Amino acid sequence: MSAVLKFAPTKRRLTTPRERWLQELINSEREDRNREADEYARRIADLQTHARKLGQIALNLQEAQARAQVGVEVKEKAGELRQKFHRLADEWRKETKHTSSVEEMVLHPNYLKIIAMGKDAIALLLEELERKPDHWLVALHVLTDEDPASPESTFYEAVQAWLEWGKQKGYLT
Amino acid sequence: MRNAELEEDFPKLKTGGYRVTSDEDVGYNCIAWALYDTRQYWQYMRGRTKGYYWPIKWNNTLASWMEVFRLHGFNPCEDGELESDTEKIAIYVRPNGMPSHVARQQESGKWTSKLGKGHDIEHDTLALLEGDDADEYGEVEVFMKRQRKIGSAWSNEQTATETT
Repeated sequence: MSAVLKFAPTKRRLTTPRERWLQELINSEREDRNREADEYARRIADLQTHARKLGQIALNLQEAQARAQVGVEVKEKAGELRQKFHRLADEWRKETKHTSSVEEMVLHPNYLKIIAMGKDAIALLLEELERKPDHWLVALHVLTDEDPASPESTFYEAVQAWLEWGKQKGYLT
Repeated sequence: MRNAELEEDFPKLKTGGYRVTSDEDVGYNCIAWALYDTRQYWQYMRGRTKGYYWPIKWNNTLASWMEVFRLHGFNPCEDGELESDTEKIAIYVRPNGMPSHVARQQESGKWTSKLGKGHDIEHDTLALLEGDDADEYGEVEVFMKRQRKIGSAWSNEQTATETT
């Protein structure tokens, strides 16, 4: 509803020509004013619509910015996690290279820290297993509660079974 | 040819006779190598993770290692002196009593070892891998022997005898 007031025509009976002339003048003036009022009302409505659109655009921009920020933070976190994983894995590999005991390998502090990274470590472990096979089978077994290898598997056969599993589950491409 | 990384982890190799005889391989370990098996990683797995082989149901103790070698024809003996027609192994034990390594004697009297996940080496003496520094394996505590078969006949034996 328009907020602009319109002039209503008078109901009084007119007697003299002057009165009628004046009345026509007034009526003509009134129609002009009413047209102007309609025009203002239309412009106000247009401005309101425009303002609403601008408001929506601003809101969308804010949301996009927030999403981008979250995306950057997630990416940064993933990068930090990857960096931490590789540092722990490289040290572990060097420090357990000459032990034959898998028990000693998995009780190494770095191995335990990798397991403590939780499910975020699964993809990293599988990538590492693919890049440079090593004794990550226990960590994968613990983190996934699965073991895709057959009971008679040799170490390398078990590695292959885990890589296939990783592809099926979407961890590896 | 000397290997700086090996000598860092086993300092006595710096002044001892040894040579690297294979590339690194994470797929088998010292027990496997002592029994001529380069296909499997011999390890008792408490959590039942697959990909490892252990022929008995005992855990990873010196007694269980000795039982595994007994299953393959070895019996305890006094020392690592070279004897004709006899093949010997030497089990290293850490100060905490846990077995850490096993080496096999060659016909030349020298020893051959698979160093964990790393190289196979031939070493002149058992003492070169002994000690408590760096990655050293502790001390040799047990010797075992069996009749040496011609060539690599032992390597063809079936190792999958499971006992309780």
